[in-house]
Amino acid sequence: MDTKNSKMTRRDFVKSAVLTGAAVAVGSNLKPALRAFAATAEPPFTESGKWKPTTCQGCTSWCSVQAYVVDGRAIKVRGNPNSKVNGKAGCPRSHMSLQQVYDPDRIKVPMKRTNPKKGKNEDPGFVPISWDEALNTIADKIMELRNADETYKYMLMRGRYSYMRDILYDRMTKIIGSPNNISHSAICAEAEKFGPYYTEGLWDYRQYDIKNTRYVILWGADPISANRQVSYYLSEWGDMLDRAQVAVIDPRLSATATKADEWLPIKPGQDGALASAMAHVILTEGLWYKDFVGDFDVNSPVKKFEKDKTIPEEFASTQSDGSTLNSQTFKEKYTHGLIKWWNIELYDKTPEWAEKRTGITADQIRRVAIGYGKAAPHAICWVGGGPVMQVRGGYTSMAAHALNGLVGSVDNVGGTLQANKEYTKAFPKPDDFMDDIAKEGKKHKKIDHRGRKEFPSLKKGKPGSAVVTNRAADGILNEDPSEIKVAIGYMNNFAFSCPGSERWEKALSKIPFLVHITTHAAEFTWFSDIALPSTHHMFEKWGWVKSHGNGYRHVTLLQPVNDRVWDVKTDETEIPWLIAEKLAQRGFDNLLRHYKEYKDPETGKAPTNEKEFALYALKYATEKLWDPSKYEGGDKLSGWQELVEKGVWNSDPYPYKKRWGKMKTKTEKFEFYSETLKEALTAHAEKHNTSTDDILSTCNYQARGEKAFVPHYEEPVTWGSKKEYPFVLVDYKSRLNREGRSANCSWYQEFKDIDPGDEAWNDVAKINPVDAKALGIRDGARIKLTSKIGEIECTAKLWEGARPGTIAKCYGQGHWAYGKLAAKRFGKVPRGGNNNQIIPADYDRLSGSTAFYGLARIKVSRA
Amino acid sequence: MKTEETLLHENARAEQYKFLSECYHAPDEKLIEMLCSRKDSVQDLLKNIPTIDDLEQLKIEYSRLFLGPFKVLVPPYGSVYLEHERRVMGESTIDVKRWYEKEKLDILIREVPDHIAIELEFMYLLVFKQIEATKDSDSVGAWNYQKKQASFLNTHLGKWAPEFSEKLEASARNGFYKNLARYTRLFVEEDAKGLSTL
Repeated sequence: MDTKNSKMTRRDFVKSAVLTGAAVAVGSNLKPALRAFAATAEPPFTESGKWKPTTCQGCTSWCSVQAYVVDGRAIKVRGNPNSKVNGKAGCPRSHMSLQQVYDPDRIKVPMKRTNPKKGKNEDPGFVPISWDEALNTIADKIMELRNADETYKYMLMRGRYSYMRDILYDRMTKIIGSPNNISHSAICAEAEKFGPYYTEGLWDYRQYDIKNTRYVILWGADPISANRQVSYYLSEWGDMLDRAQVAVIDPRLSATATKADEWLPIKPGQDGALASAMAHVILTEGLWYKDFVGDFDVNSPVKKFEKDKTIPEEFASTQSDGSTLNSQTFKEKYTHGLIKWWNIELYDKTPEWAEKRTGITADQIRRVAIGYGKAAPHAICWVGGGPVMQVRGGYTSMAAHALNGLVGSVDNVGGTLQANKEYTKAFPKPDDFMDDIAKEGKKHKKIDHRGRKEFPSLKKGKPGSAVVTNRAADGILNEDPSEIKVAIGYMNNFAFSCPGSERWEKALSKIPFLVHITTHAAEFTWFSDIALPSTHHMFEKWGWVKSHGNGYRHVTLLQPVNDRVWDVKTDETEIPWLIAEKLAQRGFDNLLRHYKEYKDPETGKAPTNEKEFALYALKYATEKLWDPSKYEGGDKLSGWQELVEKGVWNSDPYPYKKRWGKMKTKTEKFEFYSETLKEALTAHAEKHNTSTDDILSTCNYQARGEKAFVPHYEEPVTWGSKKEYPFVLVDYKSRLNREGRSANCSWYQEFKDIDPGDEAWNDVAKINPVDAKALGIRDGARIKLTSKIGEIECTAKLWEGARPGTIAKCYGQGHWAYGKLAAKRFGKVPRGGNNNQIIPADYDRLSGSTAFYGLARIKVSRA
Repeated sequence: MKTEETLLHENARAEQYKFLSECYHAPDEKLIEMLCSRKDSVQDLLKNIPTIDDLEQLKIEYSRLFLGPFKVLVPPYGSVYLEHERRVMGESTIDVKRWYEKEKLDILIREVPDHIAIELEFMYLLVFKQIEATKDSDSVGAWNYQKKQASFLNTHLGKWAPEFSEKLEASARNGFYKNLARYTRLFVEEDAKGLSTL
């Protein structure tokens, strides 16, 4: 019978049904044979809807939120009113989490690769396997390394995380015995922390006191779209605009720029020149904040800063007894090295000088600098990733942040603040559980080359302490310093999110056994041997994160508010516990014994399974926040249950000016001449038996001598000649990106046009109409963007918001393996192009950061 | 129809639903065993009966079509067809869950309530209960269960099975799933017609 064409009569149908039916084991006539169902005596209790607290990690704002959950299913989302950081405020990204958790393309069960060949053109042929089989395989592979004394060939790659991260990222890697836990931090914005650290001793993102500010200069930041505490800033921005002037420095018209008083469409990479010129103006106009910076000595023969004139640091004065005494020309209060900075860098950096480099008129530079200086100390320089995640960007980070020092807004009302104190606790130390194999293994050098002569990676003043995420691909490919045989990645997608992404495709293909723990199979998964389905952070997982804004810090819980739809487990807790159990079964129980130390603080009970472990670990870490007998500050809670119900703990309000004179720099002051950087860089040079100048030359910086220790301008580095590649790519982030994880949400595609200049269901490269006319390219044309390292295709969009000579293109599209909607034709044709295929892998080597911006020169041609 | 004939007919329906339901779970040795043990009778409908040697290919194909882990070619979920955003756990899914709850059923497997295998098993169960009632000479009960079947098909399975099957037939590379698609569509449509004449 041909079932396609035949018309069955009801009788035929019954006949055939009987025939086939005979093949089925239906069970006795008394009891139905059920597989999917179980009979239940009573219908389950159906709860009415309830707002349940959890946390959104759709960007690094880490808002405390509430999900409206009906019968185990979240249907809407809002800000958690209990949070003093974001309160009820929300943002567009948060809502898309609902489309992520209920995406039919999610990975639902553990799967294994059946095609042994790996490569972009090799379909992995994944098939479902049981958790047991997956975990057994992983444990066997780890044991092979342990038995061969090769534990350093194990690697853990971390993308986004909650603060449960150390269980998997740190403790498990150490106890197995590897130095190779590689985080994503250097593809985030570490260079943003470099400036604040080497001026005020703060290796962190700042919060901005916009309720009290009078002037805000945004350096490449677009806070009503992306960056940090977006929901809070979105809700406050309108009121702030009534009180404060806003100037946005960005080669493209960002969302924030559209609402600003001044837009400074700078040439990419020239921000350091602008910052130096602004400092020059503030000083020559006498607008520095004297209560913080100090002033010229009353007896000094020099009493002002004049262009092109250096200033002697000391002057001799005749005392009453006829002797002479050397005094400082400028008496600094809470700062250090102002005159040195002026003499080394600023004295000749006039707005006219900067105009030639930045493309911003001297008038506008002067106007903005004066407006900013006059608003002192309630004036903010808000340094985003754009100008600093560049080759040599560490110095730009210092130069722009130093302006906050000049106007005394650091740690001040209406200024730039650090995070408030919180009282969470680290997990138990792993040391006692590291055996000799582990200790030996951990001594090996890391796969990311940090600390080598060409990678000072000076996190918090310590040479070789910052991760160089993107370099790990080269380490893996060249087996330098060692081969990687077994690797696990979680909540990451380096084959998409790292510039020079093709290197990662090759590197991941080379790893003999790769595991990816993820909610959605992605480009990274394509090269994996086992894919493990992870819980969604916002709805299915226990965890905690902290963030700061509005003068507070909150610690907010990630909570399992939804019923898990599929057979998923939690990346940072449940899965490592289950691996530990399997390792113990194979005679290596150190990890499991370590995890059993994470006892429930309420009962003192050690965890006995992965679910208890996830919960106890969280209670352990947050104990001082909820246990009244261990209270140290902030919200007073009555116990664990209250923290769960409120979902968030808030710090005490911000203690303004508390750090003045007590900064964590070498001098304890705000350093315009960074003794802290001098010490760190000198330590790195000594480690390699060379001079700081040699290090700077090796690492592709221009500064030599004393210049290396002050905020200063360095010329941008670009790849490709201007003649062959006439445009500079301006990459930026979407307000819908959810860190690149939302492209398979229909709302992402439908609403993509809420990013200025962008279009729905499309990926457009924005070209200034003047440039487009010269190229003969029409709006909507299919075009190719070609750099020295690669080529992508997308759609041309003529848009005045792109500075002539630049192509503005949003990051996020161009997935070829991230679900049905994310790709145009899955596995074959991406929707648009991934910017990281044309951005080369290069670095700001002092901070270890990967460069994303101002670096790729490109040409545009018709596709 | 006489009672015996009715019972024969309904038993066949029940078994058909159960059979189809089994086919939409991830393939394993048991499925192959079931198919092979009665090869002659299944042959007619599904043409290519996979053997144990085909199991891995069958699993790869099943994953590609229904599971992922990348793009799911033929999402086996009602809400994807009955709603607009290509998501699971929509309002229609919750309605399906209510249907199960009314029959005092809990879902045992970790899948979405409107997964095709679960909806097919639910139909099997409704027919089974109709048979039980018939045997107990409870004609009202039997009638009620028949009405439930018609209604469930009208509001859920019957509404999306045709589109699902079409998609499956177009996407499947493997003869087993192609023929399963054709047969699913035919069976569900015919059964819905049969019930509508009640």
